[in-house]
Amino acid sequence: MAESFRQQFREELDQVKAGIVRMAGLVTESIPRCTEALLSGDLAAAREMVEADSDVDSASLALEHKCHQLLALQQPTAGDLRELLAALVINYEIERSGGLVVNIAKSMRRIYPVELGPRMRGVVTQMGEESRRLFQFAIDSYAENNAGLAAALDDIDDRLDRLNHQCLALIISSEGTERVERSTGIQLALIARYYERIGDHAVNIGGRVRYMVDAWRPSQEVIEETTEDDHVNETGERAGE
Amino acid sequence: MTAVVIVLSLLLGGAAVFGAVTASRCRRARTLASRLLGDSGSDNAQATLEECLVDLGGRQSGLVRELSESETVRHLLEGILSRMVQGVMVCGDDGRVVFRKYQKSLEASHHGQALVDAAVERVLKKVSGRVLTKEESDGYAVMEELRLYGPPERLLRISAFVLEGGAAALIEDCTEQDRVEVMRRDFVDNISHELRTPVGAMSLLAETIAEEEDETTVDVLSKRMISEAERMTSVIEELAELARVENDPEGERGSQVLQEVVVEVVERLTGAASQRGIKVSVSAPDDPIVVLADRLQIASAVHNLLDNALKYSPLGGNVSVRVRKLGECAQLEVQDTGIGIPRRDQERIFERFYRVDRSRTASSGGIGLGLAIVKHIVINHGGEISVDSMEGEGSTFTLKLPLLKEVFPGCASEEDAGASGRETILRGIADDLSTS
Repeated sequence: MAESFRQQFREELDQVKAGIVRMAGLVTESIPRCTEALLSGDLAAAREMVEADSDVDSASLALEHKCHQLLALQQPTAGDLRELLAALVINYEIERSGGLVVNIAKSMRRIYPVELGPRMRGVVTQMGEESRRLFQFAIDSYAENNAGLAAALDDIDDRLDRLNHQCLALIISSEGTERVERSTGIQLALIARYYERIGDHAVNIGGRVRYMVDAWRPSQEVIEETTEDDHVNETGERAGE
Repeated sequence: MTAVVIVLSLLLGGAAVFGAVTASRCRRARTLASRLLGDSGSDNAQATLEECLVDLGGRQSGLVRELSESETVRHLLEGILSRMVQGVMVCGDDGRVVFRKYQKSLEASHHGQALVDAAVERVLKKVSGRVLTKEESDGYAVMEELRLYGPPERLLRISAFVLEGGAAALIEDCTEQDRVEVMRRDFVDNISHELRTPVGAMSLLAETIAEEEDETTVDVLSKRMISEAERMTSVIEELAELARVENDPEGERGSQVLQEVVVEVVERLTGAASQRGIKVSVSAPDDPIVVLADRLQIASAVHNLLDNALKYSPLGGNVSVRVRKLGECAQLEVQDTGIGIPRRDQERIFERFYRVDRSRTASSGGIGLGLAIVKHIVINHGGEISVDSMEGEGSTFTLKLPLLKEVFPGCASEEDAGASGRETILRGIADDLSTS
């Protein structure tokens, strides 16, 4: 009797995980779709993406509710409890990432019909690829309970941060044929930030996966280190790097 | 004496009872046996238990044989299905999954598989949710296309249809089909545009000249007509070169030192390079790298790549040409720091008439055949060509050719070698049009 309860609970946990992976899949696919719409000035695609986000939102709500139900009714402990708690946060991170993709699509509409110069296009292409890759790794680590991969995400994210700075530098220093107009520049800076934020969400998902698998939590040193990094980044920006 | 009589009668009585019981059991067994054997054709109502057991044994081995045969058939069907489609899912009337088999390539990525599962569920629901008439259910199918960015980028077609007792969904990979369709459409568009534009311009100019009285205007217009005619001529010249390369793939083969070919081409383009202030650097080993090739064709290929590099580089930029030996192949790289090629276009730039951005290249005078010609030359020589590029940073074209050796296979993949052809242009067009 207890066995079948246990089994049923396990199945429900698996269902939650499958639901989260499915929702994440929608977001992972939307990132390159959005980058392409941005680079080719495809307004129709941008609109589709803005409308499709409601699927992600409703999926996220349903999953959150399911997790709450399981917590209340099943009162899990230890590993199972960590799994559900992690799932709740990961669910939120994915939903936020979906929102960021919508923001990119909307910014693209504000830039339209300005065409970007090749160097800017190159940086945007790379940011799109890096953020998609990072997000996919994060989901893979969750689906496979792979704490090693989850731990590596922070380092992999460095590249995306550098690209973000590169983009900002390009906007500030643009001139001649590649000159970027002020309003376009502002939107581009926001777009770069959105991509970078998607990467940050991916790193957060990695952190929760580590919690789920190893009960790992960031130590005080790590928190201080990360804050220091942020300060360095800001200084770097101000110096016009 | 009496005791003996009693014992004897007891024994007899026991024997009689025993006999009666056994007899009734035998009768029951015989009835059962004859009932079991009833449909096997034996009309012997007095069938023995032995016959019955033998028959049962026979039927059991028959069943075992049938089971293993159907198992073999099932494996066979699964094997065939996996060659034809990416995945199959069958579910019964109640919606429970009865059979599910996805190919490894489909299961490679978590998010990809999750999306495919979601799509399969949707189509199955559409098919089984409806109450269908007999006529409808015979041919009724629902289809959904799913474009996955992967990587790798794929277009999947998911179709579901009604089966007796349930529904089935098939997942097919239509990426190649779709790619060829897009190629075909664009090719026809491009070729007709290339020919129509100058002809249209010429006829318009001719009409205007016919009406025009003023001599200076006539002079200006006729000069424009001549330049349009020249443009058409150059289009036809390039088409002719493509045909030459395809018709005469061998050319005049001889041993060529790659370094010499490169130096010759660089010298030819020095003027164009200095005009744009571009510095061309060549790096190659002193050891001669020898290939078996037609001098003119190889030189034309290198010329084309270098010319492109110069065209799309910024003024005062750098172009570098590198020649080296890599394993059994000679490798030539042309690298520029120009505007690069968008991701979308990278896989298509070797198509005939394909140009990344018409407005960008129209002024450069190209009609999009250059790289197609280079590709054919390279493949004819048993080599391969590839490009690596990032917008805003530049492109690197890599050309590989087999080194001249006694016994040695080409270093191109088998597919490329097979695709090279002795096709004429027309047959090439026909092939493109009919492949779908």
